Amino acid sequence: MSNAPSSLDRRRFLKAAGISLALPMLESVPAMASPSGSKAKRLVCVGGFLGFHQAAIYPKKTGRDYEQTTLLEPMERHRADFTIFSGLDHRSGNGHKNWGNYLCGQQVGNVSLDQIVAEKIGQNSRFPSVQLTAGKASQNMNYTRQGIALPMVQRPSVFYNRLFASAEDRAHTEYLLKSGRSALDLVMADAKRLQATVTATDRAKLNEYFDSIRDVEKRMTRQLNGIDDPIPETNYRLPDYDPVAPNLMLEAETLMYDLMALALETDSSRVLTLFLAGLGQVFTIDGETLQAGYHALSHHGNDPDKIRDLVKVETQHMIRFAKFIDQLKTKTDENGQPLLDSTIVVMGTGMGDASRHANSDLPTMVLGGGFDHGQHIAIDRKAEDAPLLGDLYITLMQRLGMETNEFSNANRNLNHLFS
Amino acid sequence: MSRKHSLLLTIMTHCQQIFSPAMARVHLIFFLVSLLICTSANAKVPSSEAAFLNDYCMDCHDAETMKGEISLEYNKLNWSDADTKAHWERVMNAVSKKDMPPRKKRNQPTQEERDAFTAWVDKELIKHSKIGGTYARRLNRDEYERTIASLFGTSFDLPPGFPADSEGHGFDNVGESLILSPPLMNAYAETAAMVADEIFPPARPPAKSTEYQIPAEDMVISYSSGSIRNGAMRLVSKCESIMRSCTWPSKVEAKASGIYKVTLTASQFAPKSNQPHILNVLVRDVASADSVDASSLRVVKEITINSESPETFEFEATLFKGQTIVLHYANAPLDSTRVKKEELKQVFVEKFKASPRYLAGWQEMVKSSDQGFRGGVGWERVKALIADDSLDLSNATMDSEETEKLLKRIVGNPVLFTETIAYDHFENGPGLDLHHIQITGPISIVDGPEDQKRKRVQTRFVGARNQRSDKAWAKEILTNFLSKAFRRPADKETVDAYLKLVESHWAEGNSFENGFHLAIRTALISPRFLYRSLKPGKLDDYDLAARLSYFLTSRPPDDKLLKHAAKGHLGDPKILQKEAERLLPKKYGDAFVRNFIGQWLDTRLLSDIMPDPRLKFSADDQSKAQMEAEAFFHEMLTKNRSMTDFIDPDFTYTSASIAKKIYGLKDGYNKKSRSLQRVSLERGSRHGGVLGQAAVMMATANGVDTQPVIRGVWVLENIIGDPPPPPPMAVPAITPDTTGAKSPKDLLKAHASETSCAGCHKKIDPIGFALENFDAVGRWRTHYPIDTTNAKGQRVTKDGPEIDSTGQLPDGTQLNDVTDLKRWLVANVDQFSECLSEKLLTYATGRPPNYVERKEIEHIVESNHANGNGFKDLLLALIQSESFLTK
Repeated sequence: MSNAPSSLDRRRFLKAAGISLALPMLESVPAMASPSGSKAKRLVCVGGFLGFHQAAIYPKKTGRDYEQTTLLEPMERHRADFTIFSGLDHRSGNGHKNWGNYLCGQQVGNVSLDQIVAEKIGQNSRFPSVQLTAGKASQNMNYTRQGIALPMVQRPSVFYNRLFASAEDRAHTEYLLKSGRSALDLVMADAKRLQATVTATDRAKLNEYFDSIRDVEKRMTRQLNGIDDPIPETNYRLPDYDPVAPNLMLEAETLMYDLMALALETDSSRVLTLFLAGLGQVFTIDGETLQAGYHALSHHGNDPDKIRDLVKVETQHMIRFAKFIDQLKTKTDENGQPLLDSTIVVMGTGMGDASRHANSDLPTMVLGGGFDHGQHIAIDRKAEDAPLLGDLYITLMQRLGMETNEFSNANRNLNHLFS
Repeated sequence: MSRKHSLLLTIMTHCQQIFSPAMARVHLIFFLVSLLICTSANAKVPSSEAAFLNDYCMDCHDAETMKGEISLEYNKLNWSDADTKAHWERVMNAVSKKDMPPRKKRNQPTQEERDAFTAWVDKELIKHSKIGGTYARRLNRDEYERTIASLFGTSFDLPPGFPADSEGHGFDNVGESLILSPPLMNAYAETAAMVADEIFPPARPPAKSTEYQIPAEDMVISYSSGSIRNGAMRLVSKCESIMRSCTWPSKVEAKASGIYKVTLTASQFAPKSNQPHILNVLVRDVASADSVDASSLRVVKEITINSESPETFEFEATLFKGQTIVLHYANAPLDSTRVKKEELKQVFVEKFKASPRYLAGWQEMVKSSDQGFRGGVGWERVKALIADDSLDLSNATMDSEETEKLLKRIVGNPVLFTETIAYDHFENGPGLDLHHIQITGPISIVDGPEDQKRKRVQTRFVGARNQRSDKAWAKEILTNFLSKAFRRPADKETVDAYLKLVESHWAEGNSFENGFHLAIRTALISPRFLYRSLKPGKLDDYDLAARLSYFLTSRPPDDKLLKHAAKGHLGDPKILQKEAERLLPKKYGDAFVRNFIGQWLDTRLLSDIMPDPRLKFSADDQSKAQMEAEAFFHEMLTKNRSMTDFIDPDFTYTSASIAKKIYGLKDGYNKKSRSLQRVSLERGSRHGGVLGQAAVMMATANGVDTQPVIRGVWVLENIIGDPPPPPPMAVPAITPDTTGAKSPKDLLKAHASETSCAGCHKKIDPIGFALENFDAVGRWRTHYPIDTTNAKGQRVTKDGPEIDSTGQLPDGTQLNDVTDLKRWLVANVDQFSECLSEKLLTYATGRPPNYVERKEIEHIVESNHANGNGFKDLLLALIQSESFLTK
């Protein structure tokens, strides 16, 4: 932030309150170092709204010796560092409306994987969890424990400004915090005055109020104490427009991946999700404008020309994803180790076959987190007792240091196949 | 998941667990613990009552046997404990209704003994219940949102992710359940800062003028809206949806509201005649939904293009912050809008007439699947077919059957065919080419809608200065604001505290406005704002105004109501009644109707239920079903219809689709209309009333099948007002019979003979079964459906076992189906009126009515019945009740 006034140069960005700001993305100030010991400390989930054409992503062979596929080709350089799963799903209903089963499990609207994980490993970061989308999100992906869908940030500049606050934003935050103390003093005094006049049950009710105000006070104090901490700095610059136009979605995707890598590197957040939208966007790829919108392509009805164009778009997703993984290999954590070693990255979807709107057999890739990668693990979903995608999630949560044996309709794990 | 949903789930689980005689150990322990609490205090059971219990009850209900998990062995009774009171009220009801001792017991008390015993319980309950006692009630989400909007006279939406409310006693505005937690308080504080920032925004540096160069590659294409040809963006369609016809700069967004200079180079491409091409320049918010209609956008310029060589046009356009220009070829020949399908057909017909090969190419191409020929892929295929020597031309005449079929398909799916033929037009015209756009600005600043709105809000907030000092002016601003925010005149101490806050803020070098920025942030987290009715006892005028207003409008009291309160007039029943009538809902979508119905009849659950596709209940049906419940209630209220009409009315409001598909009505409604309409019904019919509405039948099922026990419990709780106690826990599950060999009735029969279950199930089951003729969306059926696959492997639904809707109510009434149940309810309508009154008062006062309050309701219902039994009259009488008037 070289153009910021010097008095604010080394100040930590605290809060950019604005009408567009979603509350769950409010940042908190790290209170302490995160407990270590578990191999993985961070989770990234990417979800493709239209999924991946199964014939183009799934290898026929299983195990380590699987053959290259069109969609895995851009990922070839990471072959030893990822695992592709076929045959997993949540036994959820079909249709676009049920897409949210990707992270929610069988029932859309139940608390999503990222939010469960954020409760455990996200709380000490500036942003306990971050929800992003490339392209306009037509679907929800993240749900709180109360069943509230979390909004996603579509503009890279908005997320950038939260990560690396502008001088004005930081000044305003400081203003809000400092003056906010006197607001709390006043209402506390007023509430005490009130408490003398109310019934015994209401005195207990007002105690809820006092406790809550004290919590706000604590948060503000923490933030004020942290106000002289260095704010993350970056040389990274966004273009001067936000790529929110439909056909700029792939560009937005690139930028979001860049910002996600920066967020992880600066330890601003440990739980990030990215939604890859899929509506009428007509993409121009390598100078050639495709002959139909993305969504129309996904309803290919097995038409080879459409499948060809669809796979072209999906390949673009994979190219960007592979570059994101490059960044997680080069960027390092506080111990100088590649971020990927301690970050679990999931590339998945809630839709197994967009042409039929089927939500079974969801193509899923997992990277990082210290797992033994390099395989195609094929699950026979028709087999009795076949494991569920939720079982894989349980394995991931355990790797993140969480003692859990449950996710949605799953209550086992995949540790025997994947560890 | 809402409480009701989880309650239903508990019951559902229980339904599958009915068969075990064994009682839950956990539950026993829980009960014993509560017994210990009960016996720990004061009053002794008098000797005559103790003798009654001993003689008639202790065989089964001593502390050891505890049949039905009920023990009546008490040494002392703590009448101040709510559970004790609820427990003894149940005992009293069982004795007075002769449910207990069980009829098969020989040793029965005389009527005098029963009366003496129930009189004792009644006396104790009255003695130990007092009218009033609502917990401090914080605003719930909906009230909070409306309160802020009304406080500042602006629109306000809660930020996404704002914490949800918890429910209690069936409603989300019950004081006891509205917890204030640290995350919620943090959200309040953040929202308060957001609101203050909106009204007095922090200063920002002025936007600099920027020059944007926009070549064709930087213009948006979506679906088949445009195509880049020879370096220009070519448009060919005028479809309403801008996603399918328009283009706009992908990298331009006005950084500030202002005047921008637009320079645009365009030309005609292959015009069909010498008709000019019309280019409309529209504006849209970049952040708004992409799927908006061109006609809904502001037109800033209409350009006539007459030349096939590029011409440059220059004009000024006002763009508000966040907007960009949108380009629409307003007289293009193509239009995929359904209403224009004949126009589209003509485009094809002309081309077909001109070239049989062209026609044959399309005929051949559409033999592949619909999806296969969408977009440019389809057009490439048509071209290849036209060029193919072996193309079959035998049907390529305008009068052939194939051609007719093809044209039918075209008008049947105009969107699909437009997406394909657009590529013909991209290649062969007519089209409109956009070569380059330049946008420069802002060259001057204007107030955008946001700025104008903010100025209105600011003016309203600060009022006029009238040559006063900052301090004097601030004092008046604060007095007005705090009185409005706290819904009563702010006392001197409060105003002084806020004035001091503002002054010391100024003293720290902050601006005049920032003083109020801080005052707003403070007031919006004050307990005086967040809670209403903190004063115990009878409500004063201001608390009464708030209770009335939030009850009927979910908003804080308006000026008129506050004026009455200021004069102390609301204690006058006539004025209170007039004010209540003034605030009654004007239309069925109003807050009171929507919030109350949504929770009383559970129509809020509808949006979460996805009906099985085989039930053929569309999303539109779903929303119309909800509107039906609301519109019906609204007429019941505003037209003061008789309480019996809730059960057996001669009207309803519904859509043609539901009337036909679900209610099976043959006539009496406008079959062409797609909106909600009032429909007359024959009294005594199956449909109509709260027990025959699609919304209610849907809310009490799960979108797939029905469970008689769930509906039975629901009716007891919400219509009859006699909810059964929660089912015993942890009894083993039974497996539902999915083959359809056994009907639900067979399955439920077994436990009816089990005495510990029978007590409740003899009430629940007859009602549940009477409603079994309604499927999961309320459609009448005579058989349970069985889903199977036919010889071809298709899923089909067959008739399974016949539905047996017969049963017997505990009072001996025989039921053949729902019409008998309705008849019984009409005959016993006061019971329903009491139930609805309890729900209304719970919603209004934020507490469930206690014993004496229910006695008051009984009296009100009784006298209302004697005076015409109108629903509006009942509601107004409840507003005058002691229960309503007391905190």
